[in-house]
Amino acid sequence: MLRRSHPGLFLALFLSLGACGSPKLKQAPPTPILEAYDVVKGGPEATAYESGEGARLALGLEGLLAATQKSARKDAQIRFWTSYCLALLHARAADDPFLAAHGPAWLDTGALELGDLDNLDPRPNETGHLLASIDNATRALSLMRRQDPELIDFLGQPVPGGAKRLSTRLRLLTAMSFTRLGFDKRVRDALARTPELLSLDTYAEFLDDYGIRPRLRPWMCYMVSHYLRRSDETTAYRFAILAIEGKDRFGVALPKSGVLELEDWILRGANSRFVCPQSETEYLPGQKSSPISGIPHFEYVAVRR
Amino acid sequence: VLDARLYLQDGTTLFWASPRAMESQSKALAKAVREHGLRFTLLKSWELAEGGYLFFSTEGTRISESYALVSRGDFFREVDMHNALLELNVSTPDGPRVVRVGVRNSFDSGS
Repeated sequence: MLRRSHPGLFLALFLSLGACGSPKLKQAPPTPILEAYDVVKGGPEATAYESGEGARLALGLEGLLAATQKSARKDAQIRFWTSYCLALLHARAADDPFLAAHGPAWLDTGALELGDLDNLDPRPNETGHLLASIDNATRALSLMRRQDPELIDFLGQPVPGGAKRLSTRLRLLTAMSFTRLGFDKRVRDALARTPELLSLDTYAEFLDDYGIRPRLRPWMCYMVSHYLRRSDETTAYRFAILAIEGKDRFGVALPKSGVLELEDWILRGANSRFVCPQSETEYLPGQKSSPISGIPHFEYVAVRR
Repeated sequence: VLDARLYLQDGTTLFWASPRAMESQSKALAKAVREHGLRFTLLKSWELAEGGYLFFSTEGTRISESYALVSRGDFFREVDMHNALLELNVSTPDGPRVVRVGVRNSFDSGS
């Protein structure tokens, strides 16, 4: 929830928004939303993301959100689109952060005394961005529950797939953010609605269709692998291999902690052992194929442990 | 280097307030933090575990009951403290590890 703290500025922003005060739903989409939507809409037409641009876009969107009222129906469109764009901006910024990355000037660093924190390498604030993405996605999904068709028809340009596609993207990004934080909340709900993502035959096309960036794909495979462990260990294993081999397959590696967790499940946690169909060698961390037959890990088969 | 953080639901980060850092703010606060704050040391076995408080700097925010008001440019944002997430960077024999704990049930289970 946002509150305006400066009445003078409230007036200035109110005027700049123009039609925001109109009781009608139809209003011109504000520039910050259109700019941010170009960046986050996904697919080949999405604008390239310039480093440092995220902070400016987010501040503009948050200013818009602050000028709205939570319960005012006339503000629903602006609240939805600012929340939607902020959710996607923050999900993207988890790997390219713009939130403050280190502490206030008096931060005590324990064993290490640092006189000048400007010399401290900024640590990516992945957690902060993932939480902000979840927060905004939750607000956007909540607004979608009203099923107001005019909510989507706002940008003055077609929204591919309409409301269904937007809500699917929000649910998947939220589930993935929880997964990256180490929690499984909302994962089952999001994945149960997207059977195309759970099949090795269709997942790649699904990710392309939804404009899921290569950087997020190892995490998507990690999440699907977790989800399938209870129902289909062979497919869960193959998605685990896709995530582990993220660098080769998507150009982006999964963090080491994620790789270790997947390998621990493959080697110890699963009910099955995964072996080469010819040589029966087991999965070997750090390798991509059987050292005897040369068959890739991805093609290994499950046998009862 | 100790790196405990409290993340509010909007991504705002509150940093751990150590006794040493508190000295420059208030001697009384530093004393309270020293007496009641959790000591960061090697963890004992779980049967011998002891509770303790973690204090965080609220610089840039105002706390009102269970809500935080976070300054953001020319406006401020009201966020529910119950949806906050605690993050600790701990050292283990296998290397550094991040532990995240939800303050309330906004998070189902964590690692």
